[in-house]
Amino acid sequence: MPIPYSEGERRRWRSARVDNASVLARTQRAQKRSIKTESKVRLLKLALNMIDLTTLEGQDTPQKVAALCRKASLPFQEMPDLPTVAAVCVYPNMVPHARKALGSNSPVKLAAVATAFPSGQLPLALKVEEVRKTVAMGADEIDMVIDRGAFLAGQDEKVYEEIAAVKEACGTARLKVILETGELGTLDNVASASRLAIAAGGDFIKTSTGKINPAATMETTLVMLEAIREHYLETGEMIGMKPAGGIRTAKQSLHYLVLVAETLGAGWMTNEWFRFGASSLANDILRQLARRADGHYQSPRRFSVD
Amino acid sequence: MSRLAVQKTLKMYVGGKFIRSESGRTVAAKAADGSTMNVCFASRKDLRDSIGNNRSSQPKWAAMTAYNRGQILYRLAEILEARADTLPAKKADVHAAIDRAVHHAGWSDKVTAVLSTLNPVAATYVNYSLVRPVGVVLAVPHPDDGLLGMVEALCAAVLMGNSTTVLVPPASAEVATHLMEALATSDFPGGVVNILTGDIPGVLATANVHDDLDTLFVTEGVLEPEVLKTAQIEAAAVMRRIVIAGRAAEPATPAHLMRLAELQTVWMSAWEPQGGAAAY
Repeated sequence: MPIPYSEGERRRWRSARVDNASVLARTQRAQKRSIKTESKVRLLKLALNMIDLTTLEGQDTPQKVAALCRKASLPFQEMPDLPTVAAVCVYPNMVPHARKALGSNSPVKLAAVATAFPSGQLPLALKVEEVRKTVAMGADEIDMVIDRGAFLAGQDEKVYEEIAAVKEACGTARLKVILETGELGTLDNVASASRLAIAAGGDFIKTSTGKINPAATMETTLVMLEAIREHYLETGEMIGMKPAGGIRTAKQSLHYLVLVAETLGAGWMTNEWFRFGASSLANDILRQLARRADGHYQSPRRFSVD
Repeated sequence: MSRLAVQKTLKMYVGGKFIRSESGRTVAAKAADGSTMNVCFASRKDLRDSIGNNRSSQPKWAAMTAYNRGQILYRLAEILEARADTLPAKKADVHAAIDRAVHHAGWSDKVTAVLSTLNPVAATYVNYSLVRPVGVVLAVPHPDDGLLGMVEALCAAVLMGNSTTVLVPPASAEVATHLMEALATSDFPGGVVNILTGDIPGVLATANVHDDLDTLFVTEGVLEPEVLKTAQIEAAAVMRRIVIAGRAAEPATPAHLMRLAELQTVWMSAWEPQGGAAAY
């Protein structure tokens, strides 16, 4: 739920000062961790189970979305015991098709981007309407974008109100708030925006749309995880995290999981609280798992593209 | 006053960069002048990285014109010529290697014309068989063939539009390093030719179970019969080709090069709506 805030609190959010050098050092340490054999398999399965398998292209068709849903439910036919991914993530127009493909009882959640993704430059009333319609069509989760222009212009009130309004429009659907960290410029801004998005009622905070470079980095993810930790220590309320964009290899996903485990602890090591927004990551994870299973390092050509 | 020479650890060459082994491992080997050199020792992951790198570089290399690829091979000969005096090998061997690069450079834009065919058909269409690259090749030259063996293997592999990882033992690293330095300055796009130094049967054991490797190009006598047999069994499982080449004294013939390529047969309609030649 949105937390009403005072000017003092707003100033405190804005006064975030991130120590860039320590953030870099911590992320680099996380990348040196050696995770092998059984632990690796376990974590890779967990990472697979945390993926929001995403297609957000102008060229998406109902058929492509249906294929994506099949892959989400059964990632690799030759290994039917593998977990499903966490969710599929599509544009609002594709929600009915995805819902039809997944069915109503699927363990795979249906997420949709909304609020004038990816720019967020639309009047609030239209954004709210978009969210309502998308949820009505069957989305379990909404990925919204914040108005970065407003945030950078210092209009925190506007950003806050938009998130709160969208949260209300979501009803029972979970809300992920995309900060688009690639456009925020500094880690200080990332920390401030994270605090703002959490206070306004976001269930998840998410790094990027995937349409802007740089997308998710370990540094921005760590800063956002720290904001979640801060909130948890203050209120006891858990907030989810979703790095998205640019996470393509299984090894990268392990590095991210190390960061989560070390920053937030085991409570977050489930797809209820941590997700990867990715499209090609699933195939690399499957490739590593298949290698573990039969000893052969598979050709990427063995895996379906969507 | 005597000077303390600057020593270097001999690195490997992957993706146009000089890299150490990801494992950090090095081994000692004898240099040509009798001193000891430290050589990076390829790990399983190094091979995987190299093959992945070959895979992503190959389409661009194949898309270049054969003429342009020939120019780059010729450039390799030019660079080697300029360094001929500094190579720790017999002058005649170095010259043979340079001449071999020129030989293959000349073949580059001719071999497809020799190997492609216009097939006879019994109706009104034309039917061509065109030469296409197989993809990623792991080349294992015979260590006794020295620089000539490495140049022959890499030229044969890349001539048809493939990308290649050349595997040499640490004892050959000194000469291989000169070749890497020549490759790095000879306009080859990064990743078309990678060179790893390591234990040949060990690296091959990893290559055997790497399904994204299309062809194994080995010189006769370089592998123990048992090792070759295992490679053949694994290759059969994933339809990987194994090409066994003769020693490097003779260049690969077009017929041999054909084994590093695939034939793609296409047909085109020769239908003439106005009548004329059509006769069926």
